[in-house]
Amino acid sequence: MTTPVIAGRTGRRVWRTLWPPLLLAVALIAGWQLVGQFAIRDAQVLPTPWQVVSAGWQVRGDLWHNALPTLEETAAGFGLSFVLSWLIATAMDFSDAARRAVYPLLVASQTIPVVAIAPLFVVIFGFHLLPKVLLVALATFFPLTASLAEGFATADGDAMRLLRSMGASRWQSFAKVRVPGALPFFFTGLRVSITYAIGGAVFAEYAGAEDGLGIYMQQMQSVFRRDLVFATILVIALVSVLLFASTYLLERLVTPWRRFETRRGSAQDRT
Amino acid sequence: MNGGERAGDGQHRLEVRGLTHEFARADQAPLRVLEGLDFAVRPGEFTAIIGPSGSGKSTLFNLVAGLDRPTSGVIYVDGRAVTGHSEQVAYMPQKDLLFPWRTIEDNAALGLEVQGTAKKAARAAVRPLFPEFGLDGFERSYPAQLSGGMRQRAALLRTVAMQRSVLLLDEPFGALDSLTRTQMQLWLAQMWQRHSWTVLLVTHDIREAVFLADSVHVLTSRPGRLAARVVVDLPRPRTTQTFLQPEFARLEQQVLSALGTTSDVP
Amino acid sequence: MDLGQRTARQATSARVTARRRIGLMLAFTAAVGAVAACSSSSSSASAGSGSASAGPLTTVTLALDWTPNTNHTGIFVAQQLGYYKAAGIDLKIVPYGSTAPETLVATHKADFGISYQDGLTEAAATGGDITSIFAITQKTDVVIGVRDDSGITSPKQLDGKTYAGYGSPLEQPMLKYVIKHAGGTGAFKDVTLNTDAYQALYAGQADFALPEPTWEVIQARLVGKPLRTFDVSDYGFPPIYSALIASSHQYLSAHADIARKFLAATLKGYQYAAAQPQQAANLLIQANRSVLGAQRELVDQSAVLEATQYYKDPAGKIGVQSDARWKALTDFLYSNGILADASGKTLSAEPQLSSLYTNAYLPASDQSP
Repeated sequence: MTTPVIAGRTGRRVWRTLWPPLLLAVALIAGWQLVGQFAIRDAQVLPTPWQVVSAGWQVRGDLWHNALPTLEETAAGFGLSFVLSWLIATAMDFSDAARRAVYPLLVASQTIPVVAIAPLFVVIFGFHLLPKVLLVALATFFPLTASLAEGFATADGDAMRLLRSMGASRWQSFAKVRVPGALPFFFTGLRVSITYAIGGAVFAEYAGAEDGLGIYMQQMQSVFRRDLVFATILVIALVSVLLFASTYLLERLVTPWRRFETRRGSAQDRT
Repeated sequence: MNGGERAGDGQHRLEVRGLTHEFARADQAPLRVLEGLDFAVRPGEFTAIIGPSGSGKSTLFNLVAGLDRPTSGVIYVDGRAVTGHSEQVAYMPQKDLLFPWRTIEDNAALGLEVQGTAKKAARAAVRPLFPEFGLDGFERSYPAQLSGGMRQRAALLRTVAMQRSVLLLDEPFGALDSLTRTQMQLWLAQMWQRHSWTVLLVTHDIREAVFLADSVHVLTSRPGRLAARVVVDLPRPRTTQTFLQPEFARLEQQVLSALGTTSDVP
Repeated sequence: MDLGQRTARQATSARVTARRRIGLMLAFTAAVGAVAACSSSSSSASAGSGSASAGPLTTVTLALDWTPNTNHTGIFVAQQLGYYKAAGIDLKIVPYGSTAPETLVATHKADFGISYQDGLTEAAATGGDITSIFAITQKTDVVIGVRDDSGITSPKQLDGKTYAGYGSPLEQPMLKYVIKHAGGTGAFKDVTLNTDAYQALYAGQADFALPEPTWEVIQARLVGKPLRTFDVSDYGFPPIYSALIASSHQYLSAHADIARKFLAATLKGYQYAAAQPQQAANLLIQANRSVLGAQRELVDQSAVLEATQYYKDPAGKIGVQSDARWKALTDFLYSNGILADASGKTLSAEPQLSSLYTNAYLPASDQSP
């Protein structure tokens, strides 16, 4: 196990982690406000943070209404990705032939530009949820699967032998050793993957959708409302951050033992 | 736990006959690590295996644990040939190998779970052992919360809980510091006293071997053969006093010289 | 007995066993799936041919070319005032996306689509099953635009200047033609930009562009960055049907009556928009509140402009297409090598006008220009 999980008394620890980036963010926003207000002075070119937030607040109903479908696409696509990653990583772990066959294709899947393939999906699958779900899944699938497969592969050989000596079947060894051991790796991949998820959904909407944050952004662009374009971007960023943070929460729930691990070497070095 | 029979009733619990093992190597003659090893362990006997590095101790360990098949030779448990099978032997590896994602009691119950006992029942079966192993109150802790010595005890608990005929301990205290190691040796002696397990202990520590065992099997350097079997008839129960007895030093010397005749160092 | 023993901390009371861990993961996935399933996917296009629904209303799909704007006014008016329903049509507007309406129509994923004359001709040249059935704008809806304060008073001064374009095949030949006819040589730099034209011009990134007079030029004026414009037709360039309604031959032959009913209702909508631009603008905004509600002033002014100058042809008719105009632009496209077949080879024969457009689905009284 490499990285420490946020442990200890949550409140103070959380604050200590948060204040540097918060400070930096505040500084950047202040700089943006100053540049917009005094240097550029043209809301059509660069709206100030204040203009962005107040304009966004005014249309908060529309922003909310458009956020829901995007979230839905993200959730469904990500869910699909999740299920597939477990199935495929497990298959790769059990069968060496499967691993050799699948892994290069897996890597290739990551290189397919969503931008190019999105219109194709729309033409084949239509305008509803499905093509967007598939696109989000495509965008998020690789990090999940690769990290999970890696996690399986790093299972302690000695632990596997111990289980074998206890009389465990292959499935038992898999479930009792490889799966729990792979979870920390999985969460690393999860964090990487989730940052692509919402961007994938937005891109997928460009290919054709009735509503969603990506569509709303295009619409605001076409009526020259740059402040609302920024407001939408802000919403997208906030949602991404929330999703990212939620992975830590989930990790805490699913792998509670990591809370007690610290960044020390072999545990046996301690007396 | 492992039958109450004491050493000396004649029937061997573990027998190793003509055990030979070699590893194939590319472009070279195969590496022979064990050669014609013969020894026997009585029920309830605590025996130690000691030898220079490269004498094939770990190989012997894997073979007795049933994880590998020997090139030739047979292993018997309670008179039945079990070569290549692992159901009769419970082993405790060098690293404690407690799964970090399981609580201590779930780790302890692992062997039973694997054999088909339901989780709840398995937990219930191992819980009574906790006070004896000095782990009372730590059932729901995670291994990361325990010290090294406690984790070794938990690992032994897991091994013992499987209720198999022979316990195989592979340098269980090797990673501990000297002070803790001595404490653990005393503790193990007490536990054995209570339970009379049949134990095969692999160690590189002469002192530990003589202190804990009824007999010490000395292996030669590669290929490992039985160089000597030193009977340790020190009085039981073994305590801190045991270390001070002149007989203790004499036995240590005996083991040392048996080792000395086999080592390559001039 | 142990040295260095750490303070024992019990695991949290909510201890998660391995099985509960798996359960949590599954619950997470299920929740995700539930969100996906339960959300109202306010259904847009059920793409495909029209007679899908079993009720009295026939579903018809229309693909937009862009976000809703005043080129689409008649359609939204007809929708809001119930003209389509009265004709037994349930109109499903397929939203704009990166798949061109021409592709959607030609692959029969949409029954109708908003297109433009040169785009449709190019699509048809590659073998796409598409034809124009209704002209929305009777006047060319692009102009050459420069900064009002640039000192450029004629296209001939554009020689050597920078043009900010969209990357469509017609732009360069058209601009060359206009500049030459104005007296220039027609040599200029071409950059494809994705920003608003007036922004690019005022930021100094380019000297001229091709903005829409009914939209962007108005916006430029509203924000105090006015543009001076030059009509391409003033320099002899053939007029273009910049917005039209297209369909596929396949759909039209299978559903001729529905197409007629659709166009009849649409025509009524545009007639309303031409006669009462203000009310039409309100209806357009009402149908697209979140998009257009943000720019009422722009929509209002645009609606008036379209009503007075764009919807009607010189004879005052709406929707009808002239053979002469189709011939003129198709000739230009063909002779400038802009038309290519599906493999990319330039066409060796000019396409048949009769397959490119038709007035046959307009109400009988309106079929001739």
